[in-house]
Amino acid sequence: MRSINKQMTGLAFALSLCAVAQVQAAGSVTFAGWGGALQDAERKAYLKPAEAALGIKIQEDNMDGLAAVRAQVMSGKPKWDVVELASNDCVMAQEQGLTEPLDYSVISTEGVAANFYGKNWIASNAYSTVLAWANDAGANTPKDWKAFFDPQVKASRSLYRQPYTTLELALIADGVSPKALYPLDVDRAFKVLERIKPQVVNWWRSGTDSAQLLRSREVDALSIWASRVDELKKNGDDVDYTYDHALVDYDCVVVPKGAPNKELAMKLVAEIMKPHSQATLVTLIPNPPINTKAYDTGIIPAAMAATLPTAPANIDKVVFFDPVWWQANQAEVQRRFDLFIQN
Amino acid sequence: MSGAGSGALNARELHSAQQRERWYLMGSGLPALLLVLLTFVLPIGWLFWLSLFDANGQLTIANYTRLLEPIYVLTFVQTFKISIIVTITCVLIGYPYAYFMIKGPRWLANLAMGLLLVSLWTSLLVRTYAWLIILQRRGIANDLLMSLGITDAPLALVHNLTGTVIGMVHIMLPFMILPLFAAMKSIDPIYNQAAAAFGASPSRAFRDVFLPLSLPGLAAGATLVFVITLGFYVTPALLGGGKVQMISMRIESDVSMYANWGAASSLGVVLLVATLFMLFIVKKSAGLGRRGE
Repeated sequence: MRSINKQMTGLAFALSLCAVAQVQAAGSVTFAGWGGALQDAERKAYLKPAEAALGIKIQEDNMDGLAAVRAQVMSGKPKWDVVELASNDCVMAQEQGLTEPLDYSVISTEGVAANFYGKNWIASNAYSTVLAWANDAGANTPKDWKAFFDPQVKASRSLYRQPYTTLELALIADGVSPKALYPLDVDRAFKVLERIKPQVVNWWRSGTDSAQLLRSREVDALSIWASRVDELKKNGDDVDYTYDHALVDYDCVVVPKGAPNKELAMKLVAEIMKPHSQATLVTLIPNPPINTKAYDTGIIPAAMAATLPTAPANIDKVVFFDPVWWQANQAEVQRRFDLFIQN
Repeated sequence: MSGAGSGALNARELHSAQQRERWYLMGSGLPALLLVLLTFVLPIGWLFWLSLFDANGQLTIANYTRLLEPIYVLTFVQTFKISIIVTITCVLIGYPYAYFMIKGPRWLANLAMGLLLVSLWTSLLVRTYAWLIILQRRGIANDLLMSLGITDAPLALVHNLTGTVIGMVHIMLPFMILPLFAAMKSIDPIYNQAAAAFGASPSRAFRDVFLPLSLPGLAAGATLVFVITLGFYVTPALLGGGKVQMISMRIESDVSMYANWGAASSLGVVLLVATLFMLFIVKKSAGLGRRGE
């Protein structure tokens, strides 16, 4: 019930903000993102430069995923013009008619691979799920996915409390070629997960929780978003991670259906996708660029580029997440997964 | 004649004054009634209405038939199981605690009440995280157990049902103790003295006099704890490690996955109906509603 309350509060909040949206001056767009360190970095890399380039004012807001966008669109008067979502949410939002088609005569896709955009969405920055471990947890700590999913390697582990990305990692550990990952062999993935289930101490639910699990040494090794473990490492914690067989997923931007400033929204998306913005972001937070031309701007130091999963040198070491497969299969797999982790 | 006339007049006047007062009272209660209607009855009706439609606005019972799948059944069973365990544990801890606050030395009783209120006033999120830190692998609880030699390896105290129940019992205890305390406070000590005067031993006096008189407070506390526990979200999500799922967590997951509110509304409706049913059974079987007799 608390959860429903949250949603209803969100709805009421959204409705009350509609009134505010109407008094905004022309030449203004509203960008809603995930907040936190990512949005701080996006402000510097995307939003401030776009304000200058387009001569407009960009308002900011925070949201927590597709449900928030749905509430706005269903209210009939969305306040947000550009929203950044997770990849499967973007695909689902398009499927459910919650977003506007993007205007690709305004937004350039040069340097963006074909699997990184769709009719109503375009990937804005990548993020990776990597294997991380505590260096002080002993020599036997798993340092690749094969060992991580091997029940003989005794360690306290944690995995994401969602089937997406988790099933992929299990299959890679079991020897499925990254190129032949989709359609996922769901049965096989669950068999692999079953083997190490008794050693999975916690199925983490948020980025903060995953970092906390490693920092407090509640677990020895876990799947985690690279930006989270990178932050721990930079703060001097004795932990490490590898990009080998990292699973690369992305955030993407959409324009909610009925957005108040649609034309400006398209221009803002175009600015976000420019190589310069993309390159700047990764220097602020380890969310690498989608537009490969970013690597030609000279903004990304060579030493850093060598470590990034979307860099030409590494692109074969990593695995790409497929939100389209998940959009079609999530409801069923989700229920099976939720049942699986409870027993 | 005049006396009878003025008597009738008086009665009429009295009657109309009574009517006026009744209307006045009803009028003053009206805003609250409207508020309850607007913020409680209507949304619940709306929730029920929504649960009958699919994403395309077609009338459907799919939102309800889906609830027969194993994951939903398991979640419902787990939710009620946890609520029952938490309620029983709260009774077992709460009753002696409240009894102590009544009978114990004054300063200790005040301290006990103070501790209870401080705990009640601390944010639920803070208390949940505190338990996470206390119960984790290298936490205080495991350190203590290992230094005392009670266990060699750290126990799994959190990221499971155990941790969830510990956290929830702590959060729910004030809701058990405060109604109990109020009920016990209102029991006149003279009853116990009377029982003693008739030769009852202290334990007999407690069993036959004090305990029955405190039952309404116990029933109120237990109901409060049980119903609030059914809707818990934050504590099981944080302390359950993903292995414990309650209805509210399922609702959140369905809200983000399905295109229609109905998919999640049906869960709310079933939870509400099941809760009312449980309370009805408890009330009937325990006969706790008979205080007025």
